[in-house]
Amino acid sequence: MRPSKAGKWGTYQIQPGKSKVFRLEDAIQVMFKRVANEVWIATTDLSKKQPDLKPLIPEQTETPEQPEQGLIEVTDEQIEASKQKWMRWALKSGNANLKIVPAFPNLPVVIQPEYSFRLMRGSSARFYTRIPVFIQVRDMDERDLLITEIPSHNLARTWFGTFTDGEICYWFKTTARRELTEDVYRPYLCVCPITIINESEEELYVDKVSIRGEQLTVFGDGKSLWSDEMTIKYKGGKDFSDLIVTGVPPQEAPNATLLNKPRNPVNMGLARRTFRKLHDLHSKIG
Amino acid sequence: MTEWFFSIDYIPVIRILLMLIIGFLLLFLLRRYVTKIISDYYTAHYGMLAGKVVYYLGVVIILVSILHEMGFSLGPLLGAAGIVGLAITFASQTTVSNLISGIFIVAEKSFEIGDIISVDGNVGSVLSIDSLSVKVRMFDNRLLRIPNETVLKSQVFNITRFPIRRVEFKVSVAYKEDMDRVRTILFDLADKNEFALQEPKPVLIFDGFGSSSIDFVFNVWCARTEFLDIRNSLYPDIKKRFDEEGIEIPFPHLSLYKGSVTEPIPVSITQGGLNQTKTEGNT
Repeated sequence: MRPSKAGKWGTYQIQPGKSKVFRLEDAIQVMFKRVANEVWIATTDLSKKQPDLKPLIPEQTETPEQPEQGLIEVTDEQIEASKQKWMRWALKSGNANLKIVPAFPNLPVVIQPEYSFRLMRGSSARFYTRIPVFIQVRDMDERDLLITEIPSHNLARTWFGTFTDGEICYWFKTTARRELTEDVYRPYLCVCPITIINESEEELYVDKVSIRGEQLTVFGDGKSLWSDEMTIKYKGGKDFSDLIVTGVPPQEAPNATLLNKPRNPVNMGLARRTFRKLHDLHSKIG
Repeated sequence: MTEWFFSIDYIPVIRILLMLIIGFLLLFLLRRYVTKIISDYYTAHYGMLAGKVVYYLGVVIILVSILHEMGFSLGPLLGAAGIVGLAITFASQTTVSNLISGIFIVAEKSFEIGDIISVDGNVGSVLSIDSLSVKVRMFDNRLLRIPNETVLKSQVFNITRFPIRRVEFKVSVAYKEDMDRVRTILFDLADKNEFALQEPKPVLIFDGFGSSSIDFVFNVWCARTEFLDIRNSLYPDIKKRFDEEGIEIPFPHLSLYKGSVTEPIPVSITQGGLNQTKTEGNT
């Protein structure tokens, strides 16, 4: 039985010959089909709003009397009519006990706030940003073996670094909110509370922040997905910024339950170059 | 004959044979092991180099041991080897030049195994950097052997050295088109293309007034491995969007004149088959 705070996320069994659908609002739906010891999985990007890619199940609204269901059974006719491109996995146990959990993207995400801001020396700011999660499908009978992971949202990519050294990241333009309002909660977006402390002797201009999701835990409180509390201490100049990840739910969701562990747990005190000051790369192209 | 056969001391011969067999067997195993370990921890390039160093050192050690077993003194041998080596050097200048060039190529590290390079217009993936030549697998699956000396003297582009790459798209529009609108559409297309990176930001450069078009160069960045993907997706996107937006991609127009001061010969195009061109006037 999945915990109530997990919302749609949890463990489900797919019986032979049955088809089920997992839907995250108007972002994505994932279809599961069981054929012998195989699990067939297909996805539909609902954000494109194409007429031939309609959701197979209605979006649910959770009430205290009617908890939200994760996987909803659909008929073979519905599945066949949707004309999906299936991916197939033959499972060792053949029971198809699948765990469906949210995870942070497999690359760092560069967040560009809608409006950049400046932090004066010695000051700090706490803001909230949201990152689209990946949907991980794991085989519970094989010690949580990862079967596949599906992005809930097609993220653009960007380059974070110099022309000769850096890394490919996902790119997500969002608002760096100072306060949480009800409209920020979406089932496919993980709310990340970030506190930035400017410990340098200079003004900090924040136009982009790189968030290493691989080091973050995903929590859920039934209303939203949450990352752990992140604190970034900016030291100034070419010094690395310190990233502190607490590993516990943020103060906004104290009772949130653990949904997924970090891909690569952070080493405490690990220095990460997190900020990028205004270095417009294209100005160097000439 | 029989006496001679039985008079030979076979112990040193067996020793030499054992040294050869066991020595080379161990050497091959050691070379493979070192290559694998170094390749796993560093790169295939360093793995290959380490393997070669181990192999040649091993060969020298085995040969010296065998000569010692045969009773040769190393001092005079080295002296003779020096003289012979000098003679061979003069006789094979190209080979020596390639050998030395190979050392410089390896030391310079302009490219490594697996990199895609362009040498004198030949583009391919580096298979190996050997003592005498660099072996390149061309994209049509031919093997290109380039002598090290040639590589050292040539202009070599390492296409995959850096993780990201800029792709140039040449775009031409008719003179009547609004340049700001064209700019907005191109940036929107780059923004929506799955292979285009958001940063470094795309750049639109005005390339000049062409004979029948306004020409632009649209520079978009992508991951080095997605160079072909972006070329094969963004060009069709541009064509499709320009068609939808009614932006004309011009082609050269040719006006025919008769004499020096006459009007152009009127030409009208009608729908139909091959005989669709009707000419009027004095032809």
